[in-house]
Amino acid sequence: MMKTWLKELERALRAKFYDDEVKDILSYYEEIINDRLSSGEKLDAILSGYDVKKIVKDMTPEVLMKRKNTSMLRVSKSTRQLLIVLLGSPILLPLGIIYVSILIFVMSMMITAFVLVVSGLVGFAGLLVDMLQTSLSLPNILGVLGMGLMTFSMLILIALWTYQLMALFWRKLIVWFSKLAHRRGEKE
Amino acid sequence: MKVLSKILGVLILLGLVMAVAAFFMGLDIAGLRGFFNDDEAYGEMLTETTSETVDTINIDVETRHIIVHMVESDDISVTYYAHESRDTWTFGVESGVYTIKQKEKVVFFNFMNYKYVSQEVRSLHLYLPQDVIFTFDLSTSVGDIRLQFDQDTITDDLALSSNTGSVYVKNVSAPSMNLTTNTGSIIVQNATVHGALDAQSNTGSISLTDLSVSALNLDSDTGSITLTRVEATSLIASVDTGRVSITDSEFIDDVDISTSTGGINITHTIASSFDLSTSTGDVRITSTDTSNYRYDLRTSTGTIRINGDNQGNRHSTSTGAILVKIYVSTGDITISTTL
Repeated sequence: MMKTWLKELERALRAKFYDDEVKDILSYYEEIINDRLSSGEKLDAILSGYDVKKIVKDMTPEVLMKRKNTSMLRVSKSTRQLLIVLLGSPILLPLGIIYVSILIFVMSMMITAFVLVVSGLVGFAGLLVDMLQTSLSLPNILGVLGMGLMTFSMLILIALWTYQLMALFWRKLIVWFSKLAHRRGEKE
Repeated sequence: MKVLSKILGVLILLGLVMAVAAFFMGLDIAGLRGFFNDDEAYGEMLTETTSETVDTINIDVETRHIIVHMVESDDISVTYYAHESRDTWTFGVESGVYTIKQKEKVVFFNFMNYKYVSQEVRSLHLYLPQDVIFTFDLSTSVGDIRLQFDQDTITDDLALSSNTGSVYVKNVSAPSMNLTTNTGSIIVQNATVHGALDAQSNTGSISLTDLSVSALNLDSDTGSITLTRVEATSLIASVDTGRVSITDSEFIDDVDISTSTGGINITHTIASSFDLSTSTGDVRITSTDTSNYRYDLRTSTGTIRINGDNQGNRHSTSTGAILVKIYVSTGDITISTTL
């Protein structure tokens, strides 16, 4: 019976979490149940106290807190899950609204960084085309291209740093807001 | 990403080496300045003159500053520069309306143009006979509009509009003024408006100094409103984000000011009533005589102080001819009497 319940829990967890996270949660519950069995409680009574859906929901902030968001795919999955947690509960809704607002800012900055990179590349290409048609002397062409190269490279570099900073901030946001959601969940 | 950063670092270094090399090879900075200046593409200054009877000036330009001059002349003349390939200019007089239009052809990849055009080349100068009263309907997409005269000038109705650019009016007397700008300031100095003055700015400040007007309607989304020595029948001012400051002014009827984020500061100003509201911001009224004020003051988060005395966050009185109604969500209300 315990195995059946654990299988059911595993199925529900697999739909939301990664393998290592599922394993951690399963072993945690297996340990708790075994501890309670050894202290004389009946399996039926123990399992009746657990609702699989609620476990998945309650564990989400904790899992997100610990998750290593190593790729953008993971970041977006974590963000989606965190949003569901924050916006799905009336208590966490204000937190959800703040999270969404900050997220909009982060995404806007990332889009700006992307636009800067594109405009830097296109801008330098335009300058090159201009230089091919110009009647300027060689030192002047060299000077304009040199200054252009510096300017556009710096522009792209700043854009890349902005993008990296925002990506890092996004990951941190997931951890910070998961922690806040977890704390509020514990208080409730 | 690290590799990309290194490549960009190398490119910056390469650019620096090229620039230094160019300098030692005899870089001609004056020549470079000429290269980036696109004034040549506009050719010589053009002049358009008309001697027909005109009472209304209608200008609609896309990329020009509009500057109006009043001169001793019987003719109307316009000086401007036209781009050799992109500009289309139309001039015409019909039923007393002098119409000037300028359209600029949108060129694909024009955004990669590094050349700049000087302010003068981007300006349209309109020279009008000073003894004729004109109605003005002037609009520009990118550019300032200036009706700034050295001496008092009488005009008929004024409608000035700039999408990106400021509107300046100085020493003008008109029956009505309608001033709008999307991004830019509105600055009026020493003017008389017999009817209403409507000024609207999306992003930019509105500043009115030494103005006599009947109804004053001001609206700014992001930007402050500053009124100094203004005499008006009434004032309605609305600001989303920005301060409203009124100093040494006089209103026969009501003063109605609302802001979302931004304080309101009224100094030595007379009105038959004040209706002030702000969501976030302090409200301060300073006057030589507050004895005739009847208060209806409320603040949700903040303190009310009248002549230094703390009145909590709600205060009302039942006597006094001048109703001072101030509602604030977050901010203090301060009323003080000074000499």
